[in-house]
Amino acid sequence: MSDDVLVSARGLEVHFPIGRGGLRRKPAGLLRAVDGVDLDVLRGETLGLVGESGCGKSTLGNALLRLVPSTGGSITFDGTDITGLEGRGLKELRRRAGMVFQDPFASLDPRRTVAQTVAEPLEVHGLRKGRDKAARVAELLELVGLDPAVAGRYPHEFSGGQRQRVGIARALAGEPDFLVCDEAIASLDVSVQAQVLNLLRRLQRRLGLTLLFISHDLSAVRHISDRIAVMYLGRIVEIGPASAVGSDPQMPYTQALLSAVPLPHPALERQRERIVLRGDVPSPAAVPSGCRFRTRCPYVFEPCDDVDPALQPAGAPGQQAACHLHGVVGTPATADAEGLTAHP
Amino acid sequence: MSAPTPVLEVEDLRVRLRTPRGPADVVNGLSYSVGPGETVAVVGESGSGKSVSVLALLGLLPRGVATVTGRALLQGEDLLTMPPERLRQVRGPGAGMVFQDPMTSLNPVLTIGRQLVEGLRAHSDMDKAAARRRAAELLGEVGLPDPDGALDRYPHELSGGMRQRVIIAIALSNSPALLIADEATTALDVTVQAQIIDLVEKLQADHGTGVIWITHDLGVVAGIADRVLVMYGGRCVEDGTVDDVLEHPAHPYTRGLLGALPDLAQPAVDGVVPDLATVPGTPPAPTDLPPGCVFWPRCPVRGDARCETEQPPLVQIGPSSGALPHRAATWCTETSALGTESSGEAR
Repeated sequence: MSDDVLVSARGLEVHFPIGRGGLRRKPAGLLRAVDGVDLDVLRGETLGLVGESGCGKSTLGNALLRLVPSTGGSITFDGTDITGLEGRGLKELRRRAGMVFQDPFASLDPRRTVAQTVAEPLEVHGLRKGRDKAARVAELLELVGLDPAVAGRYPHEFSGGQRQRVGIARALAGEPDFLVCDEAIASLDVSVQAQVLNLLRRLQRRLGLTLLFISHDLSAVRHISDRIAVMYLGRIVEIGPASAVGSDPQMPYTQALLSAVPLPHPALERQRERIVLRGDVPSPAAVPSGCRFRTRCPYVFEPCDDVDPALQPAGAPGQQAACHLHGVVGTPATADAEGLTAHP
Repeated sequence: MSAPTPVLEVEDLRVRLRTPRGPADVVNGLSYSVGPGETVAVVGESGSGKSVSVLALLGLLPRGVATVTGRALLQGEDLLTMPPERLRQVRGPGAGMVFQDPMTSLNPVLTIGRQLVEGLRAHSDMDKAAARRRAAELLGEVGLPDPDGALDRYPHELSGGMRQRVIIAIALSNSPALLIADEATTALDVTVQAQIIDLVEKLQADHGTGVIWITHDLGVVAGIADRVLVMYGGRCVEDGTVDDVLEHPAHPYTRGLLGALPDLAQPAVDGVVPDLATVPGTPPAPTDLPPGCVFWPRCPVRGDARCETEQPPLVQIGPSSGALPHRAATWCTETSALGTESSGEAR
């Protein structure tokens, strides 16, 4: 199995101190954006990561790429521990693992031409020079479906979808193995979303890329992913094959999330039972004891208060859910008062 | 949905904006009506004129830049010819509006209570205490926990979903006959979106409010709308009951939109997820609309000689399942039925 794993996190934590202001130096609290994540991204797969805003999915994506420092746990990339990587090693990681950002209007430098933007990774990593470089830029633009003739233009001359293509070309410049797409289609119109989704799928197949596709749009994630991971309050609460998680979710949170996705079929919509969750997501600065979903869960029962559920097999082969409904497995909550426990 | 006097009746609404690149025809002859308790969804891509068309109704477009013509009767009174003072009285008890972004449509330096009370007192002779009691009631009605406490809180203390509830409470504070929601749930998570939609449907059932729901999310439309109006290039290219338009789309553009949607209900064919159908190109610039069918430059069908040169009228096509006619503005409903269905599904 381990040969098939490209990126792996064990007990990964990203905690931010909050309320550190003025003259007082002591942080008033701890925001647990990512709070003990075990995750394997398999070589060549598209892993979809879904969850509501504030669940920590973007922070997790950033942490896997070492774009935010982790405060606990470890990250492995292609067999190497990259948790504390620095210098040349980190630079090589930057080449091998790229990012496509959400907002194509903010993630491109308005003063640089498309060619300059796409060529920058080539220069930084000393990959191509002179005429080779121009040829590679043209090749990359063609790869993402842009006319190489547009290389001399500036971002403002492009539509949102075209800009997102430029962002993808830039991310592909260093021939990465791993690409994190963080809400890469969120700001685009439906028809343009479809173009970008098709493009990502085509590129993934053609270049053998491994994708982490972060989105709050379950329909899009279901469409593009081989496996889906569901995140809630800094933790992966369900993971499994896209078909299984998408049609037979085992964790009550996933069930509620899926039932809330509106479907474009009026007849189906009318007869659908929607599981409406009570209240808002609790603050990641005050994570509930035991199961973190228990404050909104319709099935809450006794062990949920005291035992923090671990992921365990449930449903289809390869599917796992962190829920006591499938048997009480996990860490008793009492020891976890001030982050005293190291995650196993 | 037939017969009762409509809350809103829009006839041949046109909006022209003055821009540096010449006059832009953003809305070009829009006609529709909203009955009491009815929800009309207006769908289309960005730039199709959805938002401008409702901003024009409420006189919220900058004067001197926008020229609005046509008729828009709100309970019999024409909004477009109304003097500004009368319009101000109408916004509120006549028509409430919920904007897209819950983060920016509340005043950050005033408490929630103050913002609600302001709206209430502007349209009635309620005293402060009564208005405050009514405000707390309204917050309770939209499902805000601890309504009394919420009155003294500032917008930044509330989550996005809670803020959107406050905005809906403000829009509903004077029991308007018409509620306009412009991408009201777009910025929210699906779980919160479901809560808000349930809320609007409940309030609508209680008060008989007519709703215009502007969105680009066809899933939301399927859940909430009675009637759908598809806009493209400032025109209505298709309208009818929600079942007719979503289940039997006639216009190539509507078909394109539906085909481009990843569908959670039917994702895989023999374990293989097919690519999505796409609509190539971008919507036309309102300064430079094509002379024929507005969709012609991007249309995969183009099945008629008139497509390029002659504007298709909005006419009834085929049988309709409901009381409303199913209409589309296209020269080629027949050919398109064959054309994009196959390419859309199979590709």
